[in-house]
Amino acid sequence: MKQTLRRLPHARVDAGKPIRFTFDGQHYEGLAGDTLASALLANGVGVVGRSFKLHRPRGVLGSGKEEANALVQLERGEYTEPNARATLVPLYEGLEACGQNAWPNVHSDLFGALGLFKRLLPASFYYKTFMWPSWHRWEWLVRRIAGLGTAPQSADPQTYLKQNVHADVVVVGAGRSGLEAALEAARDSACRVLLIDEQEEAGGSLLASPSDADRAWLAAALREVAARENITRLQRTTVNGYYDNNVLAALERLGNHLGPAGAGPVRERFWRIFAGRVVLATGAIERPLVFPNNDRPGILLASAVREYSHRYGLTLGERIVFYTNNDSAWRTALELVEVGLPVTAIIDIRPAVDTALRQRAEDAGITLYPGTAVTNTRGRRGLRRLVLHRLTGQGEALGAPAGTLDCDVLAMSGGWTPTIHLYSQSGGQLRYRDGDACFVPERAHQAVTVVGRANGEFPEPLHLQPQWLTPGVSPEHQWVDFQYDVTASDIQLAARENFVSVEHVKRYTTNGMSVDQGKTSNVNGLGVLALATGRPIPEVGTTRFRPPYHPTTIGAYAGIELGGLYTPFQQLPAHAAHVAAGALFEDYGAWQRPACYPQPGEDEDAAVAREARAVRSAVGLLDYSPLGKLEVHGPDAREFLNRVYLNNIRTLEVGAARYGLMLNEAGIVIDDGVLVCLAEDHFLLHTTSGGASTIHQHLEEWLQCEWTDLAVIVNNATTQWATLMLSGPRARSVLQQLDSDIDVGREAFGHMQYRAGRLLGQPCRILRASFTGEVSFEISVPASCGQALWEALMQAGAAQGIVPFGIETLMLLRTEKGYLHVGADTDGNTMPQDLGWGGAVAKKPDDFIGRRSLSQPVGADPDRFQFTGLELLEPDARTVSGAHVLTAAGESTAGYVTSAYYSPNLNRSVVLGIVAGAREREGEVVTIFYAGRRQRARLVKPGAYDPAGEAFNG
Amino acid sequence: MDNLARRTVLASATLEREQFRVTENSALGLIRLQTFHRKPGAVDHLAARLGAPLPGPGTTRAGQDRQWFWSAPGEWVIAVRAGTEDVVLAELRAQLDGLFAVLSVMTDSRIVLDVGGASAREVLARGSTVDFHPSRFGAGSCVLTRFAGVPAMLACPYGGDVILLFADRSQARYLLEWFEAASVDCE
Amino acid sequence: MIRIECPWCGLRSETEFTCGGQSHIARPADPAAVSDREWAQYLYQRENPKGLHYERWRHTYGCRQWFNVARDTVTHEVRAVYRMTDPKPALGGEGA
Repeated sequence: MKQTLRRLPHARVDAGKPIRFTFDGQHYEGLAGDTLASALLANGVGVVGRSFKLHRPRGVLGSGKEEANALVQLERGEYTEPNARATLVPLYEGLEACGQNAWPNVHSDLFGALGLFKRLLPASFYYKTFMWPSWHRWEWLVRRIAGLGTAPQSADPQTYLKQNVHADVVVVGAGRSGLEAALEAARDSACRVLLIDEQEEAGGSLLASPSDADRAWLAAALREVAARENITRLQRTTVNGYYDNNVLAALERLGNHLGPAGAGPVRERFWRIFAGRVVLATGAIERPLVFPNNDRPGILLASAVREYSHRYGLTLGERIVFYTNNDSAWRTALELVEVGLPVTAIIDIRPAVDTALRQRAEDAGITLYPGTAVTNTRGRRGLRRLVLHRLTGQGEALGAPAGTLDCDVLAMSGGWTPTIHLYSQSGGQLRYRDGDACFVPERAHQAVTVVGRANGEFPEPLHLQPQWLTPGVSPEHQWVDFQYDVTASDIQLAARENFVSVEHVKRYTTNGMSVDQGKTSNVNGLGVLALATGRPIPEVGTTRFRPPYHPTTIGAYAGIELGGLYTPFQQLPAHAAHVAAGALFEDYGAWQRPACYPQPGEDEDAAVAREARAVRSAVGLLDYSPLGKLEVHGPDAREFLNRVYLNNIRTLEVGAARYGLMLNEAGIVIDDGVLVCLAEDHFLLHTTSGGASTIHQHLEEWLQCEWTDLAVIVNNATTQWATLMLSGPRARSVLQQLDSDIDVGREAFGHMQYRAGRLLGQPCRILRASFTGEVSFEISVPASCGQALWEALMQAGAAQGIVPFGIETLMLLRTEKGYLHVGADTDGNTMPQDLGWGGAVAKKPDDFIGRRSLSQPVGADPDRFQFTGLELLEPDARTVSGAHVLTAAGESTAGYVTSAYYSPNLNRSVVLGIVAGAREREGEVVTIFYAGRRQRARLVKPGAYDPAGEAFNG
Repeated sequence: MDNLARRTVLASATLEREQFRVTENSALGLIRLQTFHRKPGAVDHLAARLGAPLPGPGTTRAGQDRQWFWSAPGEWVIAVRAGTEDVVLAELRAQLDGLFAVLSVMTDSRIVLDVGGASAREVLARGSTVDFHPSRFGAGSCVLTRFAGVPAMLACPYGGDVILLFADRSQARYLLEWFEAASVDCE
Repeated sequence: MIRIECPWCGLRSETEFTCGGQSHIARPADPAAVSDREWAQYLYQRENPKGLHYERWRHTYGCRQWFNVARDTVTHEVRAVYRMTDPKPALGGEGA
């Protein structure tokens, strides 16, 4: 093949627009309309890659998505993309690509010597060889030799979007059949049609046709499509997945054809398509023939030679020979002759061929070799010569040698495989059609029809005679899967080793498992296996196709859900005030909340200690808005809540508040909080911060699924209100400075009471509960006033030394007090008796959710993990939550540390945990184990700070 | 000390692109009306007292000085002029006296975004699998869906490319950032 | 992806729903009266059929309603959708 930029007339490339690019560091020029593959061929670059296992030099095999050899590393650095098919990469100015799997380059690859050891590297070589002493011993070496392209090392700087779309009819493929189907469907103007095509331009195989009539038809059809308002076209879009309910996934390449420099804001768009009906017009892929050294550069699919000639205007070689087992290649050969290409011979394994075709070929001066097989190929880096043998009978055995034949291009055709990947993904059944040796759609499982070549409707009969491998010569170098270096001998080996199932053979040999997913190798592999096991192909069956049909960029799956948008976040009503106050934000569930407010020079520990001292000695302010606030309405609200809470709700008076525990039906504690009776038919439930939505759903599930007759409505009002916690000995005097109709005086407003009224002109709700152990007011105002209230309280408290404090400080303070935090100090087994609530259960007269589970045998197990305080014996010792508490023998786990802080108020560690049988073991000394270290601790009552509980009344 | 000032959640931050825009709508006050829909006739009783049919699933309907949105069985969101919630609430309470009807002000718990522009429907279809084609989501449509991973109500009260998006107030910033990223190609 | 017809909101994608597992499990009327074994059966014993399965789903991101779905676990086909208070329909093809 020699360098030429001169193209044949008719070509769909623009001779007036040269495009410069580099391959393996060499500069070349192609034309607008070229793919990287056609441009490389135009420049006479024969070797474009090295094979996966044996590093054999490989040239372009196909012209589209079926390409098995021309995998390149496209671009560099953060833009690099491995395994790009050169046949699918449209040429753009400045394109840079390298061959893969070779060092220093594909032209002279030092690993190429591996090819000499083919016999030593059969299927399963790695499985069998690198077992001793362990795979891990060899992994580094194998990983270096194996693998195709190189994954990018830095983040992908390009943007990807996801798009959902609905359509009544989705047509996949805009070749002749697809265009016809789309226009037919679009006759109904109310029918929304989506026409999707994966090539750079619509037309399918019409693009490779030299016929003026075909080109005119295509142009007219595209004009009509454009005129139909109800047809939406997605070009450069590959449908990769076909799922249940006619949901399809597709990847649209928006910027790839422009390269990194020229691309717009979005590189690719990932489409999720909801289709009423689907029409698959996905065409067919030509199959290679299996013969010795059929992988030599210069050997291409006949359809590819056709496309390079007519679409890209390339001559490819000086002596083009065809090798086929069916009629389609003859027609291609004749077409090529018509446009002046040097087709010198046709070798056909069939002893007899249609006389008309034969006559035309002879008239065209083509030498014919009927009943002949190619038994070897020669040429160092490209094809030079074929070795031929006669075949006997219907091609079962090899006869006499038939000499050699010089050529530099071999166009082969082993028949056609309908592209039924998507159909198979949709759950459709396939039928093997003997005459054409291919699988065709049989019975659809979803609303899908398959048309054209994808349905096995070939424009003219093939008269095919299968030949799955060449008889009479070694199967050793007869390639079936070019990409993964699987030969006929590998499949035969698998059969000898008693792999019967086609799915097992596929995995054992890796046939069809590379990035092309067996587009050219699948059916040939089945044929070889059928022969090896003496079964007909339908009995061997075919492997199930799975998404994606074509490799999909990982960035497209991620879309914009990256970095800050990885998952939805929630912000507090006074978020801006926290930012201004220098908050250190952390994620608590979806909420972004201040952990603490470090001052200059302070680390997190120092900030928490300072804030904790301030709350104990003066006053602190915490944004407590995520505190769950559920409102329960209805005539049956009290009855419902009495069934939901462990506590007796029947006795809760209007205006009163009560701490309550909620269990699931398995008896496990799922939430706790203060419950307020606002009116006989209206209750306010406080849930754990961040637990509001879960508990809301829990309550609605019981109302909708079980107690459907209870007239109760539950609303989640959490974010309607901004809730600030004012806590500390000076909290009351700070709050008293704000105008309100609520008397917050010590006598008027006691601990565990609730008031509603107005505060600085806005509605407000105040709950006196305490999670710090100090006097606390949990003040709620409408969320839009949250920031104003924050500012008002900070201003009012300035003279009293008010500090903002964060969640970490709150957690330290409540750990000092030994207050339970459900979810932190409980696990998926914690029952109320483990928290000291066994007595309350016994006293409640009524059933409630989870009650029955408490009296199951598991509830009486003496080794249940129970909530306890832990006092570290060594002075100044520290531990962490998650540390194990050991059994007496010290050999296994009998509990965990659940909360551990260093208390700046007590100057020692404060620790909570759940420990086996802890409630009966107070005073015992246990061992804590963490990161290889052991510590001793005494089991004590929770609550090291202010055990008498005087502060919160203060 | 001054009375507490109300603040809009996004502090009038907006997203303006040639084909797409998102702005916070702070002109609406929101009230929720609920009844015990499993009780036979409950919804009809409500409508009879209100003197007008209530919108059914998937729809929104304009009433005198207010817009009704169906948000769940036996549940509607009523959009009124911001600041008039208490007046409307009192009026509804009087009309529905004696029926089991729960009325709550929810203005502060929600953000309302006006989503518009020629690409509005296309961008919305990046966040939800609902069909936003004008033939399926036209004037009077109202859907509750998963939008950009969070629960949201989207309504098209008047048709065209003006769509209201209701979501939790705490997620306003997230949604604005999401729209910014999702509309990069709408210039 | 499964698409489910919410009885109120219409056909929606699976991502808007939460699956609550097998449906039509009656809570014992008097939990105190049942044996430990019966209670454990109520809590934990579930069908795992190949074929038709009656389960409950919630339109979590929509109208928040629970409802019943009769789904084929092999084909993912949704055979019927009905409200929580509706009786279980006889569809045939119950899984084994």
